Amino acid sequence: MSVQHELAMAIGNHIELDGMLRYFIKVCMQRLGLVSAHVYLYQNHQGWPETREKVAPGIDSPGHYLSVPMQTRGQPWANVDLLRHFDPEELLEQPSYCKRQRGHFYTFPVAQHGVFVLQPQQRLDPTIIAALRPIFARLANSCRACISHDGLLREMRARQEAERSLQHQLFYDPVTNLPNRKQLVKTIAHEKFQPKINSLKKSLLCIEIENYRRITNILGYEFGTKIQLRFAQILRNLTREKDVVSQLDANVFVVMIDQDAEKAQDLHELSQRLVDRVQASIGEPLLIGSHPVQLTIRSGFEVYPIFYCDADQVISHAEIAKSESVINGSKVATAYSQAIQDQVDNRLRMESALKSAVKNDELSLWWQPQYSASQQLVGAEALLRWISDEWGFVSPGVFIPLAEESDLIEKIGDWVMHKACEQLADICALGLPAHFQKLAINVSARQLAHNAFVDKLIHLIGAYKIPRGLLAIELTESTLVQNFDQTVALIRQLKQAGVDCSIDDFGTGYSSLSYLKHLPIQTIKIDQSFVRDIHQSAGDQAIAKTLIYLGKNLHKDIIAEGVETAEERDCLIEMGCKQFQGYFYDKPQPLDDLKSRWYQDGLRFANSA
Amino acid sequence: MLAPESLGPGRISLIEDSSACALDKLLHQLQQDGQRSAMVFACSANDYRTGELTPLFESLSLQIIGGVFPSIVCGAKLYERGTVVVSYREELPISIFHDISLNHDDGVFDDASLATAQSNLLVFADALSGGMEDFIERLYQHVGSGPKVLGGGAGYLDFFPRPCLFSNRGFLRDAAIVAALPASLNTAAGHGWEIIEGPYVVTESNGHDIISINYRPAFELYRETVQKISGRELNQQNFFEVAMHHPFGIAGLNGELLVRDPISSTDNRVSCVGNVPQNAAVYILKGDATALIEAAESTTRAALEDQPLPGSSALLFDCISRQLYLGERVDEELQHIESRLPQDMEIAGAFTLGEIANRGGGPIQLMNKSLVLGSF
Repeated sequence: MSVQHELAMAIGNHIELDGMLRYFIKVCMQRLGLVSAHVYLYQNHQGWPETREKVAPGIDSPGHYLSVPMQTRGQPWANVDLLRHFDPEELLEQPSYCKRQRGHFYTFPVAQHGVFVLQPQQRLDPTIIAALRPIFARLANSCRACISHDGLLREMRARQEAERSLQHQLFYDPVTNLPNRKQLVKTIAHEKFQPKINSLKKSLLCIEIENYRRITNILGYEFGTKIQLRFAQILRNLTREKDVVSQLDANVFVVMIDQDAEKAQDLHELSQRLVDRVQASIGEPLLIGSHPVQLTIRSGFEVYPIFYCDADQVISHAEIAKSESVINGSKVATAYSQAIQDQVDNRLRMESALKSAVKNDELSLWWQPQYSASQQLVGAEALLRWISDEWGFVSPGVFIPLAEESDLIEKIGDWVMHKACEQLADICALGLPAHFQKLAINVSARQLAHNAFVDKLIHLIGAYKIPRGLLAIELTESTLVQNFDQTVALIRQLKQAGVDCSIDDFGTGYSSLSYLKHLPIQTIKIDQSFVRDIHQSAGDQAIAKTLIYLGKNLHKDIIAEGVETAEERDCLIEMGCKQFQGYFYDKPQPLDDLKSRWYQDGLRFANSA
Repeated sequence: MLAPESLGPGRISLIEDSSACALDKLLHQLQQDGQRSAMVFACSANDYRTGELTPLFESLSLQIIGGVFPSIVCGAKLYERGTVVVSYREELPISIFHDISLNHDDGVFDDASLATAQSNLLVFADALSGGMEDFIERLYQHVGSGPKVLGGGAGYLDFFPRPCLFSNRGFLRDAAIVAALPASLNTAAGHGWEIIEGPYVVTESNGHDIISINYRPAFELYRETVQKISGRELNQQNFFEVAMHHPFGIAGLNGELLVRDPISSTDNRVSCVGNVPQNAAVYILKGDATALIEAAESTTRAALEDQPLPGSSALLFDCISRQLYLGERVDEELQHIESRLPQDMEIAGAFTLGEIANRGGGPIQLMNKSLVLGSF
């Protein structure tokens, strides 16, 4: 009876099934003088114990769940199917006995759950067996409770894991597992409340992989994730343990650099050193997969006071500094300053003003005439001008790059096409000199890339009834080589529609001379950098001569840009150049000014009304 | 690595000189004589230092296992100073388990060759580490019912934990050493204690501490019962001296009693050597010297039931508590044991803090106030 009492009290000692059964078995082993004890339970397909009624069809018998000890004669008990020695019908109904070579085995059903198998050292007295029956009946209740509890626990754990995973995703990058922007903000904000004796300031260094998008556009998204992982690893390897590496975007990483109180190093110095080390690591192409990839970076940082900072602002400043680093050259990490902020603010204001300028008619199209060696007006280049209410005359060198950074350049490009056609139509109505060949408008790479560009231009030419061949486009050398094949196809299309193309700023880009052979362009414009003081530079003369020679032999027209003095002109004429543009002849000016001059000068127009 | 099918005759060497130098000399001599493994039983009164023994053991190619015990046995005699060494020409597969009170990672058993070897086992464990009984249970969980097991707990009678086990890695504490023994091993265990009162239900316990019995403070009920049956007063001060005559016994279904030795009492609890499970039915036992000695003799007979091979040795792990109880009659016990041994069988061993054996192929148990004898 005392054994029965102890066994009964041994049930339900743990809330988890495994623990409960093991404790119960331990007491059984000690009190019943067992050699071994085994539990067979009904289990679902995932191996979790279940009641018989809940297991899936097809699971007819309980499976091995637990044995103490785990093995016999070097073989796991789990591999010994003890139940096969018993009548399956009886197994679940009443205690059974079987003697095998290994010894005496008794089974006790655990209602709805399975079977207990006990191996005592000797045969059990029937009174003992009778005393054990209610024990196992009680065990069944406990099993049910434990299974229920275990199920709940598994659900809870699964939910916790899902929540943890979700939480993690909220704060960590899914590719590199680095803290993301949210986490970085939290970290910066949290630091305010950590007493720091050794450092009052930190540096937030922002590093962008500049050519990331270009690479992934060609090699794909998956390749991009490999770049991210590799770069993240580089940063981890190069940073100290106390510096925190985070990731703001696929190609933008941030390092929070702590001061080194012992070495008293300047944070500016620490930031630049880290950038130098990163540059050194990516100096040679990285082998990613089987592709060697040359990464380029730009970086900026903000040194901020730990206790008096706004996290979002710190990050924003570091990003602004990073964006401005293009001006300093990509190898230098730019420190955020008020001057930089002012530049950015100005630029934003100007961008906003430029948007309005398009709507408010602040833009105008000026013409700069082009002349032959014999001073005949042979054409003009249409040049965009912006006279802002706020800034006055804004140089195209300032607002064009601004427009190109946003989608404004397309709107502006469309406006230029319209205006140019309108002005050309106006001049045509008044009559053009016989020698006037074309008006050229500048077209950006983004405009060219637009699907509908050619159709738009041709449509406008038709709408304004511009005579064939009168309107031309100018493309810079770098625009031409960006997507060479596509660009050539577009130029051919335009040529078929009667729109010629010229290369602007030729000699300043990185194109090979062999391109010239394949480009269906009409005109090559010698860049003004070669023209300036050409009469004094043998080198420039050599370049110009070569271009003029090429043009002649490839049947292309050559225009020298930026002619400002008679000496330059004369030198160019001597080399065989036949067309000129520059301040020596005419500066860019409103068409109305030119018109009044042309009429006053008595120029005869071919088609005067 | 498997244990040899049988070991050659064990060579038993006794040194009564308790110095480390003497031990050093003996072990080097044995090594020179071609002995390859040695079981070392040393007396706690030798007072060996870690600094003395560790360099010695590490320097030997002779395989060392063993420990420090309150007293040792050689032949029919008990020694309270000195060392007895049982050495063999064969090596034994050995596994050492460290931090047994802390390390409950069952993976440590995977590295041991024990489970797959399925050899019989000799176990030395630090009795005062607090992890011995749990280790023994886990050992059984892994080796199963096949191997026969014998062994004992090493340590000091002041119950102060310190290094007490010998191995080639040095003088260890909180550890267990398990060596594989040949298939020819025969073991038996017994104690001779009898029920005098009970059963009682341990209504609350915590490991070695019995907190309440029959819902009464454990010490209160125990004292009441012991005073009734012995006529002697029991208090905190004389607890050890009186309680040694009346251990607890936990009865199994087969009638066998697992003895638990009460050694101290604080806060109305009774602390024993070994766990006393909650809800267990316990009896209070009595003994007398004659019954204990008879039990020792019958245990020896049982250990020799299967005819031992010629040249076999006998290893004895006898509880120190029995020695203290028997007093001068302990020599009688040893003589009775020796008298049952074949003429050519020598006996060596120790009085231990807890005895380890499995009986009838069942689980390995930590016993108190018992003796375990093995012959191989």
